[in-house]
Amino acid sequence: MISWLLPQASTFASTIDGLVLLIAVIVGVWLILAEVVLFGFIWKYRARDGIRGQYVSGEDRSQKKWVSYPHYAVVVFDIIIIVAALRVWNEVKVAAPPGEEQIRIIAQQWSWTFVHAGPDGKLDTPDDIRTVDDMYVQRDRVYTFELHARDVVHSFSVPAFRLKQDAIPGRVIHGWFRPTREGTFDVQCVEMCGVGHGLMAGRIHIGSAAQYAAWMTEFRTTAATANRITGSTPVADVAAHDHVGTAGGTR
Amino acid sequence: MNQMPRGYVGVALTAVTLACGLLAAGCARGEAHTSPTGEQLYAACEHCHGTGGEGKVELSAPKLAGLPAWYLTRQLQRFKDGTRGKHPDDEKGLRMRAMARQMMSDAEVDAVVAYVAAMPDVEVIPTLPEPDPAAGGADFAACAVCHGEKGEGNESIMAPRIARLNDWYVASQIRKYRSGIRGGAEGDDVGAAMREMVNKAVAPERIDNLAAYIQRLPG
Repeated sequence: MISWLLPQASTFASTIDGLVLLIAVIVGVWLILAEVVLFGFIWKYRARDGIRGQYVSGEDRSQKKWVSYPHYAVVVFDIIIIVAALRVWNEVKVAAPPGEEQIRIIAQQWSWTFVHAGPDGKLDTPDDIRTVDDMYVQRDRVYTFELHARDVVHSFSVPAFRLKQDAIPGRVIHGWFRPTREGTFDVQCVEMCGVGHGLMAGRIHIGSAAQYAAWMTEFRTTAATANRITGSTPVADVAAHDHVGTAGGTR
Repeated sequence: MNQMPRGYVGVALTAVTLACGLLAAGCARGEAHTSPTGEQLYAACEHCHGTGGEGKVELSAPKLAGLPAWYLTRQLQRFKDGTRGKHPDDEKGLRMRAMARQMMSDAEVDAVVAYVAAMPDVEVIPTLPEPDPAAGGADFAACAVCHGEKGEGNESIMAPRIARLNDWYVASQIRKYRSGIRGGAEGDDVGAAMREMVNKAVAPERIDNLAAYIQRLPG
């Protein structure tokens, strides 16, 4: 149902949507029921001339049950939601499939740098390709990512993947995804990271194997090489030092 | 006389509150359609570049006061289109690129540039440790061909005024040109020419001297 509003482009997107839908249905049904009862009682027991209000202490068992039964229901439905959430957590965070390619994501005020592993599928090798704000991946391929933050806390979010992961300076955070749908989708920062936070938008491009190979071939001729700079490289060392002879294209 | 039930009063109050809120939102939206002034737009810049365009070295934000309008316009547009500030190693440029995109139209760029270009030039404080400006003067001869003997600039060949710029900023830009972090983008012909020039004209160990000399130029 959520996919009517936002496409599902990763393997776990439908799982997470299912959890959100489950919570929405449980909470929604009880919300509507509670509101119907509330407003029904407000109407039924509205003020009338000549009728005094009755004070109910709620000490009798016959009265208390109308508080206790809903509490039991809350506990039961909480357990159902927790079990469903743990199953999703296990699929997304614990039982990660073996990665077929690595990608490094570096957040900074206010842009994203993506280090693609290149043809060998491994990072920190000479064929790495870096891009800014545009990430390129192949459909039906399992990517493991490492997430860095250069300055302050950011949060890497791809709504079409239902993926959101905080990026914290000084920490390398790992995760994975498997794109399932070709196209271009939004990347956004969802952690307030300064005055330019709202401008920290990127895109993820998902293509077929042939299209992905074409992208990488194109970028190898124009993009900057990785230079062994990682998200943990001190900011002062990134731009200030003199890279004599670096190819230095921009994309 | 029958009193109105209290439930009706609450519903009526809620409806009136919602109507007032919608009316206020409509008014605010109407105001947003007016074009912001250069001063209003500059509010986004002054956190880093200072209220008078004096710059803040601690934020690596250079002085803007004293720069010509044509150069400011060109640089804002280049930041917006990614010709400048989109290299993965250009940490400061990447920050500025996002900020430049706040200027949503050419009219907004023109407005904020007009405001900044009208700022009176301000003195800058030397920051580089133990430079030798006199030694930098020898290397400046190559720069003077385009930027002028006094660093006053020459718009006809896209050479901006560089006199009285922050020494740390000039040094960092020369290093970025040398490495291709700046001037290496596809289609950046002026940047490519600048890269070629700095690679020929100044050795890495003499960059600070040259930057100190440029900061002291009268303009």
